[in-house]
Amino acid sequence: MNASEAAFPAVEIVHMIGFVLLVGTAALVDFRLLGWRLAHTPVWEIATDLAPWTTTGLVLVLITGPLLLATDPDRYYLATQFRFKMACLALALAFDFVVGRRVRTENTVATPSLQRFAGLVSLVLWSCVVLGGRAIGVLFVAK
Amino acid sequence: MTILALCQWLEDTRLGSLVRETNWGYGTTQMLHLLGMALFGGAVVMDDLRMLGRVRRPAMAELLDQLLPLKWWGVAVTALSGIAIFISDATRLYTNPAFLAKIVLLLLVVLNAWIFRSRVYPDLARRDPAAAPPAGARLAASLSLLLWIAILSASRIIGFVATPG
Repeated sequence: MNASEAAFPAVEIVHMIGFVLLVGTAALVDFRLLGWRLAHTPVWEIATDLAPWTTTGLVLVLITGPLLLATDPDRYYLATQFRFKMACLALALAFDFVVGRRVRTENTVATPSLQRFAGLVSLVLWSCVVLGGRAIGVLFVAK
Repeated sequence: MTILALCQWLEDTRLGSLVRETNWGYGTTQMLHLLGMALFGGAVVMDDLRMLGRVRRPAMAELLDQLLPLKWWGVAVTALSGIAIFISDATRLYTNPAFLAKIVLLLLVVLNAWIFRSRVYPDLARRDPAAAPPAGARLAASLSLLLWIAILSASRIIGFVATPG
C-alpha cells in the first residue's frame, strides 16, 4: 500500500463506494422503520430487496478499511477519532444482529414503536460511524 | 476580474477563512458533505437498481416519488457544504484537474437526470407497475450509477493531485 502512490486513493475510492452502499441503503431501511418514507410498502419487502446491496457495501468497507489502516496503524490505532468510529461500528453491527434483523422480517412480532426505535438507533449509530470516519481525515491534516 | 482574482476574493471571505483555518469549520463542512452524500447516494442507488430490475419493490413511480425529498435534502446539504469547501480553497481547486473533471461529470449527471425527468419519467407513472423497466429508464439508471462512481472517484483524487500550499 505504501509502495505505490496510486494504491491509497484507489483503495479509498472503493471504501467510499462501499460506504455509500452500506450506509445509504441501511438508512433507507431506517427511514422506512421510522415511517418517514415508503410507508405503503411493508418493511420486510424494502429490507429484503436492499439486503444484498447493504451486505456488498459492508464487505467492500471491511476489505478496504484494514488496507487503509495498514498504511499507518500506530497513528490510526491511537487516534480518538478512529477508536470512536470502531466503537460505533461495533455497536451498529451488534445492534443490527440483536435487534435490527428481528424487526424487519416478514412475520416480525415487533410493534411499530419498537420498529421506530430500532430505525432511530440504527440511523444514529451509522451517522456516528460516518462522522468518526471523516474526523480521522480532519485529524490527519490538523491545523 | 479574472477567475483567479474571483477565487482569491472568495478565499478571503470570512466563510472561506473559517472553513480553511479552523478545525471545526473544516470538520463540520466535510462531515455535512459526507452525511448528505449518504442520504443522497442511498436514494440514487435504490432508484437506479429498481430501474435496472435489481430491486423489485415498490412500483417504480411510487419509489421515485417517495425518495425524491431525500434526494433534494441530500443534494442541498452536499452542494452547500461543497460550495463552502470550494470557497475555502478556490485558488487551488479551480486549476485542479480532478476538480474540473468532477464539475464536468456533475454537469453530465444533471443533464442525465433532466433528460430522464422530461422524457422517461412521465411514461413510468402510466405504466403497469409489474412491467419490466423500459429501455430509457435502464439507460438513465446505468449512466447515473457510472457517473456517480466517476464523480466519487474524481473527488477522492482531488487531494492527491493538489499542488502543495
